[in-house]
Amino acid sequence: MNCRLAALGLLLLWGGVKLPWEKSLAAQRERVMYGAGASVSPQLRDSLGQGLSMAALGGFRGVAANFLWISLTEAWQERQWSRVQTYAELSVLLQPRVVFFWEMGAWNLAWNASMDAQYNGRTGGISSRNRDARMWVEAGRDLLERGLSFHPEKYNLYRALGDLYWQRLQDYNRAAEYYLLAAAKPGAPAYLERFAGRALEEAGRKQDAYVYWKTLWLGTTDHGPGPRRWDVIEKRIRKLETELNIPLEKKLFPR
Amino acid sequence: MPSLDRILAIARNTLTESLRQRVLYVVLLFALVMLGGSNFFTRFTFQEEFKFLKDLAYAAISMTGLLVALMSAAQLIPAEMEKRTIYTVLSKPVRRYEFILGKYLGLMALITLLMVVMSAVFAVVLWSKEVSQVSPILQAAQGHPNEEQWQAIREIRAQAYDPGLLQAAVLLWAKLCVVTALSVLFSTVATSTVFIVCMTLLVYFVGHLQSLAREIWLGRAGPVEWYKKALLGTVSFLVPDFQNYSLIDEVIAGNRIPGAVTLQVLVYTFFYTMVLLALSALIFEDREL
Repeated sequence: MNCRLAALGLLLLWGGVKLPWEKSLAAQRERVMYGAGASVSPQLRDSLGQGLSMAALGGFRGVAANFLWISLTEAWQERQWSRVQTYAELSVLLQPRVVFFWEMGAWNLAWNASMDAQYNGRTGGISSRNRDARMWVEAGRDLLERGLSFHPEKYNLYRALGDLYWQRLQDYNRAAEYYLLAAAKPGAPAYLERFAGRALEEAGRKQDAYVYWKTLWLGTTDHGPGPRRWDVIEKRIRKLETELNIPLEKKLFPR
Repeated sequence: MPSLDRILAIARNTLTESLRQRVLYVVLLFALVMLGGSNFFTRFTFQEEFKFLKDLAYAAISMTGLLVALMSAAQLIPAEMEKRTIYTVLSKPVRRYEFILGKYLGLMALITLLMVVMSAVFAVVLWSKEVSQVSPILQAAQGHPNEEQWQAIREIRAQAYDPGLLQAAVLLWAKLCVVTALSVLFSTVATSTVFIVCMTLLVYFVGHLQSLAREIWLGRAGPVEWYKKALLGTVSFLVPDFQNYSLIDEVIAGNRIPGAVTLQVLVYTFFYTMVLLALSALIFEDREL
């Protein structure tokens, strides 16, 4: 009897101790899993709660998200774009910290679905097909922009947004902006800084592009072979110096 | 004073007995097939393939651990009573809490052993995946990969040889420590194996929703009726929060989890396990055999 009372006492005592502890652990877990918290919209938080509870029983959230992702791939093969969008949304709801769910989900919408609507659309005229294509591009952009709040430290989604603005919306200014942000992230490939310069040129901001390339060149004295491809950067600078009629004494490459 | 020798002798005996169960090898074989089979996800990008592989592998390890913990712990006391071996053990100078502790350590040794075997197989699968992904890139580049190819190789290698996977394995092991302790606790109260398995599974599933119950109980999701609140409060009070171990998914996804957070989860696991074992010992002390 004494032992049972002791067991009950221990259970109650432990319950009182563990609750605040679990609350603090949950807060830390949320921070780790969903970022800073403040950057996540309340709507998204609510949806996440529902999405997470789907696979919560059993704790196999990753496997459930993979299943959805494989279903997305099937829908993609069948060109069922609304299903692709639904599966992409569900996948990111279940595992928002998997960067490629956002990146490839957006690629499916902004490239595959959009191109399919534009060139293979069965209904409507050109304007209607263009409108549909634009709608998918915007859906992809929306997905990437939401993904940024979960992955502010990675270059992938900034790069994907740069690609989207360049290739799908021909907005080279925004593309340059995102490539610059991507290039500044740890582990970013060196070619992203060149993409930013090229986007500035495409946007018609040749003076800005020239200043940008020049700053890159003067930022180091090591212009040997390597991933930063100084030979390519030198070509860009030479080309812009000619196009902008830079006076000889101010040219970085006078000859 | 508890005797470490006695506890270890019981643990050794439990491990040996468990290793003799044929069903264990069937479960292990199933897990190994699943681990090997997870390598056959192809026609996806390497990020997708690595994620599928890791998720499936950890699910296989987790499921195996859970099954073994359930099967072995459920038979812990009921089977000993049925075979009457428990009377022989307890008629010797063995205290009941030493018996419980020894049984638990034996089961954990078994689970640890299985995890080591499965992790070793998983490491080989990961290595073969890395080789199968990198070789074509190197061949295409004729030994001189360009910048993008190097980037891809770096990313593939980072996925394959991610030290975070060890962190995930430790967290998974910690989760199984609590599940096994729960099974041991139920085996001290019940006489039926089915009851023990069902109760442990129930707590396991509810434990994954405990954080949700706690949020609602604390009023974060708006007002609820008193009886629902009482039920949710009881769940929050009695059931462990298994979502603490959902960090495993984050690690597998390639995200960095601060060591301090992992350490706190491990400390939580330690104390939770100790409390469950103490409860088991107290209940078993009073039990009529």
